[in-house]
Amino acid sequence: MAQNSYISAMAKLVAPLDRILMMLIFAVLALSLAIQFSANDMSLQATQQHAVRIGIGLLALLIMAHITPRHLKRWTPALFLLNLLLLVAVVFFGSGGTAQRWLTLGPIALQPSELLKLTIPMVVAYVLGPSLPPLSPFRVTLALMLVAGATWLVAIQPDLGTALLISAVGVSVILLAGVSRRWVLGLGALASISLPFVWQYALREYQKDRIRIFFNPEADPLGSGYNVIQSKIAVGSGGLSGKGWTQSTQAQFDFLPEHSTDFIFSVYAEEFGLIGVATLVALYLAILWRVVALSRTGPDRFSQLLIGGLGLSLLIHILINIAMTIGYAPVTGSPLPLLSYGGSAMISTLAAFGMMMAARHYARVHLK
Amino acid sequence: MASPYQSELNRSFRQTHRRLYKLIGLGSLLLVLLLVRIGWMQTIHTEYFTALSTDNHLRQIPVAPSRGLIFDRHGVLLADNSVRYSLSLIPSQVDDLDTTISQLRELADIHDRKVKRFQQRGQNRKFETTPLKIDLSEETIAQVAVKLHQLPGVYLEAYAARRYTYGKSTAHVLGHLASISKKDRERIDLYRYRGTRRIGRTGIEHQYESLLLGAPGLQQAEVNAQGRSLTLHDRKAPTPGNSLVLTLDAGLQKVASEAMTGMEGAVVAIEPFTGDILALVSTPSFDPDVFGHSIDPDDYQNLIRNTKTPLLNRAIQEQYAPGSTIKPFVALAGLESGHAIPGEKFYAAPQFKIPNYRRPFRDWKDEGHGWVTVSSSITQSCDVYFYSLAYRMGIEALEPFLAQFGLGETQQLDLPGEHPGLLPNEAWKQKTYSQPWYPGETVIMGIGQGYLMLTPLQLATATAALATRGIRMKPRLLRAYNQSGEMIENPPEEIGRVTLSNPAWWDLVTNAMVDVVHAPNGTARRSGLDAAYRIAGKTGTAQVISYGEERPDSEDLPENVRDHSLFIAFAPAEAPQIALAVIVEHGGHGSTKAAPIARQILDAYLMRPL
Repeated sequence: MAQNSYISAMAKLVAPLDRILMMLIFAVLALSLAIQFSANDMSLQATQQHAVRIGIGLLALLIMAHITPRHLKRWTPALFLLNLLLLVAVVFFGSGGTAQRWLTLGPIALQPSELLKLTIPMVVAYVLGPSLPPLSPFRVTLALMLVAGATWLVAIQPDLGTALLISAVGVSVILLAGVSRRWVLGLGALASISLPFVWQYALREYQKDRIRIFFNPEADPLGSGYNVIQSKIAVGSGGLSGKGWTQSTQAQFDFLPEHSTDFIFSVYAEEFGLIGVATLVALYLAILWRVVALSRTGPDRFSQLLIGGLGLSLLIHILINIAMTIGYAPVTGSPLPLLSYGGSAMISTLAAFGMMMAARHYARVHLK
Repeated sequence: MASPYQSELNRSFRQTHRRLYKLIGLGSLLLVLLLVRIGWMQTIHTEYFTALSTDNHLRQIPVAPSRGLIFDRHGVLLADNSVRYSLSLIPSQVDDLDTTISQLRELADIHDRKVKRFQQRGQNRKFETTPLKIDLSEETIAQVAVKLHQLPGVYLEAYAARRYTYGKSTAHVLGHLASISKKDRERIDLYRYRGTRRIGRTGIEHQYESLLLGAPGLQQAEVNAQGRSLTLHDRKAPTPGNSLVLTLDAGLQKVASEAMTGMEGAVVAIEPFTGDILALVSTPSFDPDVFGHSIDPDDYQNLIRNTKTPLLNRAIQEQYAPGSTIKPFVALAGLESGHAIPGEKFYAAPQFKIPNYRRPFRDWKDEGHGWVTVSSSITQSCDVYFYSLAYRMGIEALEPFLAQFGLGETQQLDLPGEHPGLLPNEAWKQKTYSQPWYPGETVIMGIGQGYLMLTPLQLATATAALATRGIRMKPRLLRAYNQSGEMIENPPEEIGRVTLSNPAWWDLVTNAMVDVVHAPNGTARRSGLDAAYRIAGKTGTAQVISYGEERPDSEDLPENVRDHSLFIAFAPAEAPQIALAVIVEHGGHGSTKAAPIARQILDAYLMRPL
């Protein structure tokens, strides 16, 4: 009896989890552990820390999977506001290298901009959910302003790369909600008009440099272009089957900077080659399409927009990061979801999966 | 049943899903395009990136070969290599060059000038090791080694410095090394010099550079992004240079060199039947160790400015009037041309006169020699006899005969920079001065004065040809070399032969030369005392400047215009083992300086314990 109740409790605990999605996530996490061991000079300590973060992330996933969309929706404004407050705190008390991105609270170093990957889809879904297409102009404007505000707070850290990602995520969720073509064209026109002004007044010199280097990395092979050149060398030298696990010379001999975080994909590609890259891309695509499948029906528009928005956020992060490693996107300092070293990103990504699964699970329960 | 709101909601679900489908679809397409691009990089272009990756972390470091050793004819070591250490920097790896240099200056005594020179050199070679200070003391090495880990880009580099066992005494023969210059670079095979910094500049080091050098090896080093070597793998060991065995006798070289101490001049000793150079000395000499590593500019200036020209190898690069040492050769010319007849009496007056010549040619002996023969004229060094003989032969007969001994041309010695000397004739005079040859010029050539100029080497090889009765052997310094364990001989080579109508004339001249040393009336009789073997020799006293009819005693003159003292000899006279020429600049009469030195050398060689 006791055993039965234990089993039923366990069943209840894992009930919201999507098995296919979980298997795919575990597959990527296994690769993540393997490549982090290699990228951290085979340091067991660093790998262990990564494993602990994965554990915390999976716990977050499990918790989020049990929070009903109704509750989540109710907390959304507060969570978003809290996130904004944390961003403001970063501006005043933050730490980090050239840019202030971290907020240190005792032993925990938090990167509030990573949390935006969750709260931006949430708040856009919250604002636009109640309005069916054609969307209310007021709500669209409000959503845009919230996204713009969050983007601005990240941009002044200054973390231009993450700011661009955040705005891309926000805009993609707004598009998902179904804005009319007029809005799309208008916003596009506004963006292209403001671009020269942004270049002239809003960007700092090193940010301009990064963009210039993006278009011509060989112009400064030892400076800003160095990362991209070394990253391409790592990827290209991997060949068909890779140099083998823990055999990355680019990472081991420190030619590739940030090789456990932003450029983890390059190390992965160097060690596992095209076969490994194809496997990883296939896993990511499978995850994304499973997310699409989860979003087919929603009990409510908030849940559907949330699942879709989080999926788009994931996609944008994967695309930008991989494109960056082969010089097709500027060096933004954004991690590769599930693979990069770093707690905030790992936990928020896994928590996002928890939210998606909860939305799906309670939709199914609701439909019954 | 469904409310209008519910159906509109359902429609929005479908639309939203379709939009997500499209957006994720577009993203998936982009992701697949990235995969295609990566696949292209990792298959078709992978070799390009692999090469870059290899270049990144693997450096091919050339390993300099160890330079060949040099031995004398008995296997005595003359030159080898010793390990020394230099303090070197790779400028690109140093964060702040000025700070690092001032830190190093606290550890080692580094001159301002060296720092300046380093800065000039380092400008162009930011990624190469550039030495800041060479030849570190053991104390400095220890001090630097301890702090090395705090000084990125600073290295203790081992290098091989040349070491010459016999120092000054072999300096001119062996020569020295120098840094590879721009001019060298245009001429040499740079591949063979990878890792090597120094090249033979003079002497044997220059002559046999290609034998001594060896071939570089390769070492593969794994380096990190900071350029520090992490691990080294041997790929190919360097091929050491070939060892040379010279014909020199180190002991004899030392004796000759010490005998010449304090004098300027030269000694060349040859084994007559092989052409082996047993000793080749030029004094003053220099300490070859100052060239052992980069020479201090001050030391170099001192060597260059020294009025006694220590860098000049007088034995092959300086030419002297042979003085009376030419007389045995002139006697042979006279015998061969029929102008001298053995035993024929000749009355030698105090001076010799030729028609239409106002100035008489005086003998060194004021009262004259009286009745002499060709033999006794050699023994007593009678000037008037040789004035007369030369005059009668004329330059047309004298010059071609002397040329058979190789005078006036380089002796093909395997040492760079040999001077050809000067054996004048009418054509030369016409070409050089646009003047006819005057008979008086033939007259003084009979006693080795005038235009005739010979190097000590020429004098020695000609003397060796007297000893061999006309066989001229090519003088050689290289006897053999060791090529990967196998001795490769450099065989003796005959380069000419002087033939006389009557071979007995060789004996006549040899006997006259024996009398020079051993007869009571010989000019070098004091140098022949108590000799256990018989020496055939000839003194020479070469005028440095010409005087009028009155010729002052040499000792009364300031040193720089005093006569040169010369002596040629071979011994034992019956079976010659050694022939030599000794020249002491401003040494006065041949018998006073040069002959005693020759005796010392002959004793050392012939009386050595076997």
